[in-house]
Amino acid sequence: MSKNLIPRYIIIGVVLAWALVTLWPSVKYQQLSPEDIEDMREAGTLETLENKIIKLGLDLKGGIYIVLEVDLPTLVTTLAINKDAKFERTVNDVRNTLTENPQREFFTVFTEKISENGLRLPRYYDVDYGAKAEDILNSIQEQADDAINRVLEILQNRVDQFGVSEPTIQKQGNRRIIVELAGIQDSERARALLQSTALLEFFLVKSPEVTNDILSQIDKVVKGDEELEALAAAVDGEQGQTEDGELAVSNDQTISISELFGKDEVSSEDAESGDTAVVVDQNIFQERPFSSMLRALGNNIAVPEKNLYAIKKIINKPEVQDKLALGNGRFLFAPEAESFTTNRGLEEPLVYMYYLEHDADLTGGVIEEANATIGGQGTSAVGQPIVLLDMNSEGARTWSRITGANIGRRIAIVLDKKVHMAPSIRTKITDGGTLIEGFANMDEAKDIAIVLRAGALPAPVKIIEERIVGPSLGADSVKRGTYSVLLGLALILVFIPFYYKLSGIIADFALIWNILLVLAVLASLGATLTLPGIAALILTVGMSVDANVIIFERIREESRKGKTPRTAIDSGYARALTTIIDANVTTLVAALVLYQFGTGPIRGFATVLFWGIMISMFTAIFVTRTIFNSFTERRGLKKLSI
Amino acid sequence: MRLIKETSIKFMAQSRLGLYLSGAVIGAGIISLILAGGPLLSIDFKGGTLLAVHFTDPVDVNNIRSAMSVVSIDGQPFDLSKAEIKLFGGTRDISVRIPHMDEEPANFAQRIIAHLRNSFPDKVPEVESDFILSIDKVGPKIGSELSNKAVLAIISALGLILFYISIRFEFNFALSAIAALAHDVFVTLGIFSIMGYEISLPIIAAFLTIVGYSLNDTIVIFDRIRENVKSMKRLTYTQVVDHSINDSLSRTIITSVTTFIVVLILWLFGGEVINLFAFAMMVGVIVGTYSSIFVACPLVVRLHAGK
Repeated sequence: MSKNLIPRYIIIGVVLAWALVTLWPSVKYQQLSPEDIEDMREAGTLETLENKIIKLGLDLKGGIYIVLEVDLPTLVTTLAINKDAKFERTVNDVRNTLTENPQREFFTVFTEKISENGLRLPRYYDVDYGAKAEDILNSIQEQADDAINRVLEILQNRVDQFGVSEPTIQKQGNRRIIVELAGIQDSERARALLQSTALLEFFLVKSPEVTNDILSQIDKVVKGDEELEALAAAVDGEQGQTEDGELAVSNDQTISISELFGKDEVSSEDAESGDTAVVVDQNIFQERPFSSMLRALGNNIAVPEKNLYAIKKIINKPEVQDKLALGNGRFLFAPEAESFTTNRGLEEPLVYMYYLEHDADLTGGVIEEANATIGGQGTSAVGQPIVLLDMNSEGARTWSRITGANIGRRIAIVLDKKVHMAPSIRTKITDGGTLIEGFANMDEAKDIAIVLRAGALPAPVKIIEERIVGPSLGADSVKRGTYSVLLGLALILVFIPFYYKLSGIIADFALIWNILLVLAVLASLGATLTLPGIAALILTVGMSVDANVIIFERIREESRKGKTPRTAIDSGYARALTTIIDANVTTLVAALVLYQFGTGPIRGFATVLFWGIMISMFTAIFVTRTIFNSFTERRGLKKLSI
Repeated sequence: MRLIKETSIKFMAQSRLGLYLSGAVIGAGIISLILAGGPLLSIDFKGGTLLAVHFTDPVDVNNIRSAMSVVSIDGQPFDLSKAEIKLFGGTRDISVRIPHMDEEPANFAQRIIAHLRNSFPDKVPEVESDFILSIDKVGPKIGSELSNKAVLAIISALGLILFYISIRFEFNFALSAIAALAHDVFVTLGIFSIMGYEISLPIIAAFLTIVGYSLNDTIVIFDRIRENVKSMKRLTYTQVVDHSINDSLSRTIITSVTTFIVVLILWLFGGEVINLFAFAMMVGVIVGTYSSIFVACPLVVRLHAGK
């Protein structure tokens, strides 16, 4: 071997050694049993190993990918003071415009609607005298940017406490946060954890008399409603069974929602089905369309789950909202339905509904500590999951004042606009301690304790994209992907030596080397291998073969012209070089563009393609050349095996 | 071993045939696209919900459809029987695609899955997480952003490529190469429309890879033309181009066949998720190889003659 080849072999050897060392942890990780992984996790050595292996994307190992966006319309409303109907209308206009043209930027639309509606911005925001609308908008924008950073921090905090291995939470642009949770299956729980604003509020419950009054007022308002008149007639015509019970309502009749709100709401063919029907008392429906859809449960009002949608529709009617505003009250519901046995012995899921003071007496931000536990003896929630709260001194003072002034009244503990409980105040609470009950299970109580501890989000967030891959699909993809790569590789490894003889074996070596190197680069970059990434790996195989084919065909051509092996290889390589570079650079451009524009899996594809091309160029130009040269250096080589 | 001996096929003389063939395929594609009202876009671009679930026994799509006709979520009724429901892979897995609705309740996808689970209790895996294969939910805002991004990605890739080839070769070559690429994308788009396949995000990636691959192929021939123009001064331009195609024909065939084999394997064995991606690639390899010879080269000749 001539001296000038030795440095080349050293480079090749070092790179190969590096690739093998870099890939070793991944190989080791593959062989670990689930028990080994648990042991390592406990010993704390797992993370070091996981940092060195090729990471699998969510599409391969299963998990949840969620994109959250700060809900700007709600944020500007939250920031505003002295909100009036005009302000609310403007924000609603903005909301509608954005729904129709999702691509438009919020602040542009907001500015537009402000001038359209003649809204005087300084009226609504706490600013120095003489501040211009422009300054206010800028300041809101700044607060929005600031909010996203705090949201990011709080979400990180929540996810850390949730206990997921390797969660990824990152900011995308100015308004979005991407959360990736590997190996999580319960997407509902994850969504609740991320989306909860953790806004804890305490509202005084209105007295039963006031509540009854508003119900009958709403009945009167809705009674004249055209949408409901047709229904009233329909109910009149069909006299069903009459059966009296303890509850205020007994003569149940099912009426489809489409009849209630017009045919366009649902397809008419389902109208007959009991599943989508509203349960009402036919005798009183005509007179009291709203309250007839409700149930009385002791001192409480409850809504049959089937009627929930209809009730919410009625409450949101503008004329009903006006009545509520006059009475300075609001309706809120319990988080979930509970099953009750009706007097006819049927199980019926009911959701509690509360009529509350419009403004909260105490809002979040006062919680110092929150812990989930099981309710002890002597409490109202024996054996039930509860969350114990501790307030800071300011919160405790306010809490003490409210409880002291309202002994005997009920107070609703509201989290994210859902009433968890509404106990009666028996004594003045001075230490700021309180508890929340009304959770479906211990997990939910734990999650809520987490979000309360991590603090409330400064702005509500919406989920705008969500991708969940189940563990079985991910495992299937890995299996099939690996299988396809290996099979394709095997076929090519056999075909190339068959066609190019000994030179083909050099090409085979280059191919294997290529794949090892691409994987090693991925491992050392901490890049993520996705399913499209596997596809890119297969393309890399094609690229690598192509580079060698271009060279070999050129060498064959030169040999046919009667050149010696040595000169044929030299001129073959020289001529093939420009072709290979020109051809690969263009694919490289495509890969870079993909990386720039793509997200998630597409980026994974672009990353592998980029490194695949770079490495295959290096291999074709440097590695195989070196091997060829060491063959031709031997004297007396008359014929190339190609 | 040599499959392709030295050839001297007069490709340029056959370029009219190529024109008819490409014209016919693209024409059929355009008709299909017009009839379908544009390419069939996945929820990635239109927004909506796509969910896939796994049953333990084979299921009938019609049963699923009738079960989906009445889905009640907190008393809010949904008729999802018009949703696109189809088998996903085998006979046990189904996918349901629901367009975006303005009044979607929270956890919409999860509630639908719960409804499916309750509707076929005896066909549902015991472990709850085995039932859900995947859920994709894309808001309309993200969807329209992705469409813009995809178009921008393809245009900027083409722009950069045009720039590179103009520098390395000449502008005529760049124009011809871009025309061949546009041809490839249109043919693939047309075939997708005819087959009724959806364009999703991975398919856009496949399109860009096709662009890369086809270009690779075109450049190899162009490179040969550039070289032969210098050494074959006595031949006409058409003869030089024919000569160059023949010179590189062996490489073209070997590479195309090996690449085709790997994507074919990916198509056959790669699994449901990557199936369409591999299909696009297969079409791309064939069309890309064809367009280098029958679209890019005749155009180079014509543009040269026009000078």
